[in-house]
Amino acid sequence: MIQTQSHTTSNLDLADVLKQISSIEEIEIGDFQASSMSKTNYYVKNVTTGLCVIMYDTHAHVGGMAYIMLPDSEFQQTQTTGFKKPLDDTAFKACYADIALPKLWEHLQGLGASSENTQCVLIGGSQLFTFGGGRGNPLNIGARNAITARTTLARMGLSIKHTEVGGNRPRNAVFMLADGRIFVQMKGGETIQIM
Amino acid sequence: MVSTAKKLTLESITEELTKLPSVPDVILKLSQMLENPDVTADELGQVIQLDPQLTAQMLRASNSAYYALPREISSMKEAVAILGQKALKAQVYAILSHKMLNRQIAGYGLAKGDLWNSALTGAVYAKKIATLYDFKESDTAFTVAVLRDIGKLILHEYVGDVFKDLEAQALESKQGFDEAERQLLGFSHSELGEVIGKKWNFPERMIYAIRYHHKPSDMKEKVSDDVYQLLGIVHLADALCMMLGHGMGNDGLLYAIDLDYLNAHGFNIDANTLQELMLHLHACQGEVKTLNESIK
Repeated sequence: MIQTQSHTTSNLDLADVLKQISSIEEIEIGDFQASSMSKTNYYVKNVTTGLCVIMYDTHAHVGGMAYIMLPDSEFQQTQTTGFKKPLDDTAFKACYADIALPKLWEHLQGLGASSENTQCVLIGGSQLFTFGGGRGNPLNIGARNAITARTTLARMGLSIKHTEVGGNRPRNAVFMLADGRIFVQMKGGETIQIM
Repeated sequence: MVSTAKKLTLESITEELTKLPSVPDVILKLSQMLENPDVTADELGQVIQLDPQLTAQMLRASNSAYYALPREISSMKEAVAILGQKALKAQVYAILSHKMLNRQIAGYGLAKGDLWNSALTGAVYAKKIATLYDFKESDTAFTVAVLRDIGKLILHEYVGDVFKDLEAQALESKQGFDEAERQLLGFSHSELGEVIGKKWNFPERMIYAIRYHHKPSDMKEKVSDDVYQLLGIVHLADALCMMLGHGMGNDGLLYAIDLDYLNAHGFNIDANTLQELMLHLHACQGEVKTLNESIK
């Protein structure tokens, strides 16, 4: 199930949008960045089960992007997998929605963002099919990422302006801090402007 | 579903095989020599040296941070002795994969570099998964994973025109894009990969991995426990590559993960295991970049 909202089909392909930008910073999975510089542009590509979360203060013109991999960090306290080599969980904090989103918001508040003027956008959260699996569906990470992002943002008092989540195709997105425009392209599909 | 897709036949495949990029003879010879456990470092070194470009690539890869050797290797004979035959085999297939797959695959919406990126990332992931599950031949896991999508080289010419039909079929049946290819085009990219693997005399376990990497439970051949495990590792690496967004084409996540097979072969995939695997594999990105730089 794809969750999408009203949007404008862009006259530009995402590749054209990228050509018009002189500098762009790619956010990789498990990372986030925030800025108050109007020339900043963020780009994320091939978002599948992960989730790209964009926050933008329309008055202070500060914004940021997080590309989260997993919903919550709690599972690491109760892990039962038994792999011999344990994870150094400190290295992965920005991978989790419940940790990365508050951190991104903390950075943005430091740059002057306020919850009244900040709008959020969710992009990604797609999913593979499964053959069998009597033990529940461990693959619904995309949907769980979106659910955790929604509850985490609500807890922080932030509103979600737009979501482009679900389905089975990867998405690419560009966020331009100068005017808050956001372009999203489902791989192989048309480019839409959602803000 | 009614489709006007042009179907592949055995005759058309034979013609398509002739259009494939050529593989250097030295690489094919090496891949066969490396199947013989009694081959010596001298014999391998002599063959590799016949191709100066390959020699340079292999020495560069051997001395890269990926292997983190304590001293510099200056000859292929030394590389064989220090790295071992299985690691060297993985290197030969990675170089072959780069030669074959580092190109635009338009039918699947893959820009130049995307399919190669997916091939290499999946191979490094397979090696890591093998280590995490205590599978003794982690280099073999790398080797059999790195060419898993080679069939796309042929099928992409047919996929582009009927992509929407294939997507609709995959969504409707929930059997995956690979099965939709088979139903609408006559062959899937996995089946075409098997044909290519046989033509080039790839090792049998690599052919199984190519053929069944999207649905290992379809395999009817009786094989050893090692091969069953290897198939599970490659299938899991491929799925996690997609979940982490590497080398994605328009077919995206239109594939299934074979939980029945994985759990029947000891992988115990539940939500926690999957999440921990994703974090472990995410931590391998540095290795993927290092290896990519050394092979290019």
